[in-house]
Amino acid sequence: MEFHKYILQKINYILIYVIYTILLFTYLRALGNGIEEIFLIIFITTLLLLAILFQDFYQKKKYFKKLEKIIEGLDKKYLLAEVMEKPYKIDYAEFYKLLKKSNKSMIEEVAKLERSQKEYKEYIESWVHEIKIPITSSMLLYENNKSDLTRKANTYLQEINNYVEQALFYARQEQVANDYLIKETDLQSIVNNVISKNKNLLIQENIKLDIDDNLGSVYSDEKWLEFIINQIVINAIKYKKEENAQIKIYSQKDKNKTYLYIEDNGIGIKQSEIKRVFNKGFTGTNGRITGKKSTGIGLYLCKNLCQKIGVEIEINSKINEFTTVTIIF
Amino acid sequence: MKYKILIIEDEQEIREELEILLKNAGYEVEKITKFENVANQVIEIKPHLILLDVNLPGKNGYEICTKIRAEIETPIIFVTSKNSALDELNGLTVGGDDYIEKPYNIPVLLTRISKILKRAYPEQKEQNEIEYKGIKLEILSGLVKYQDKEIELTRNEFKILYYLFQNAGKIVQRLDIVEYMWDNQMYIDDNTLSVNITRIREKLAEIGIENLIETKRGQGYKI
Repeated sequence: MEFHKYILQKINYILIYVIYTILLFTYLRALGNGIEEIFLIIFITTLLLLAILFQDFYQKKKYFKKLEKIIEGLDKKYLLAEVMEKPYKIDYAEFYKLLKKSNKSMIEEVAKLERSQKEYKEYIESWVHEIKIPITSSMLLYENNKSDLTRKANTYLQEINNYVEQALFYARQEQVANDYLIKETDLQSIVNNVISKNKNLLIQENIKLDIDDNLGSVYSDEKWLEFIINQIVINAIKYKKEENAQIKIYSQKDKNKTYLYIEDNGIGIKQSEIKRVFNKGFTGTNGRITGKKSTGIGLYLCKNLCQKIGVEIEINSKINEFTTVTIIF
Repeated sequence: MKYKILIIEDEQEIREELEILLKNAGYEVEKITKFENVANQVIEIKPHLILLDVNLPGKNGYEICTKIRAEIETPIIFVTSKNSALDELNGLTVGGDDYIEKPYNIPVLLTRISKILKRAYPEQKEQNEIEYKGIKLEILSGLVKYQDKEIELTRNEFKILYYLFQNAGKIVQRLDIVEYMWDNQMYIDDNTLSVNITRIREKLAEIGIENLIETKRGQGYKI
């Protein structure tokens, strides 16, 4: 609040006062009072008026400063009316009443949305658990009845399973903090699981694998990590090149960090797009190639989950040559 | 000796397919179909290992595990479609030995089962050799013995021959062999398989085994 703006706002009072002073001056003068006496009276009343204005200005300024401080400290700004003191001034009290009404409606609205979002998340979770049962049955059916036909169906089944997992992890990403278990995690066994999951597709697509047999171990959460690595491997398969496709997985250790590299010799990513591949919904040039079915969700989830479990993820690529994703622990 | 595995799972389809799978993998299988007094039934069956679903009608898997643990030490693997850290922790605190998520990766499931069995029953000697038509495969050393001669195979070659021996008399598809190799972390492709088969034939011929592996055109191999 600035003083000149305040005065400008009070201009009507001041105008009335000026007119009143002129009238008073004329009247007192007509009664035969001396100019000096009249000026003294006017001086005193003007002083009084200024004093009132100043006092009012500082009091208002102080009050709003206090409110500003409260709102700054508030995590949810719409709770202002809940935490501020009820003002004793009648004009503020009216404002307060309205603000309180408005905030209350906001609080109700937010609670309603939160509830419905929570219910939706719970529904997704339970849906995923339900659908995993027929997926499990079908996978067992394939294992017990292998043929060219069932093998093909199993590849699709694996794809379905990947999408189902993506939905589950997407729904869960906000709760990573309450849902992880840091322990010594063997990178080899995670990578083996991921390869095993995508075995049919990798063999079918004729992709050569070169996996270091000493990837080592890190302290992290196995489940989230496996999901992240799976997304990266799925991408490497999706964006492979036609001939002699290869995926290399190796690790490196220095003083305080472990680097896990997942490298393919696929179609690569344009330099101009590489910064955006972790953005939600970004599909880029590669995503528009027919048949690639890019959703723009996989890498976004990877980045987000990596941040939450405290590991770094980097991507490097040269078009038509390679893409390397590095996870740094 | 065959290990006896008990399946505690309320989804009939999964239960039955799992039974076939485990029987094919060489285990004896028992199932529980009535979910009352599960712990007592388990103690009566005396399995070597239990696959325990968490979501069961009536008592859940954790409660059942606690009850079983009060009586016997049989290894228990939890199998469930819930995969939060809390679920996993629950499973381990009530005395589960492992925790596998549905849909399970089948080769991984089988590996974990055999690992836990080995750990729980170290006194059981593993089968060290497999014999067919007078030819012996020694698993630990990777040797093939025939009459009084022997020859060493590489890890890949040995694994391929071992798979053929396990399926002796049957036609084995090339892709089945490749997948089997992948399940054992040997990522070979179709060409490598052909090369390996040729080498195995040469090596077998050196110790006097001729025409053991037949090629069935368009189908695969058979011994």
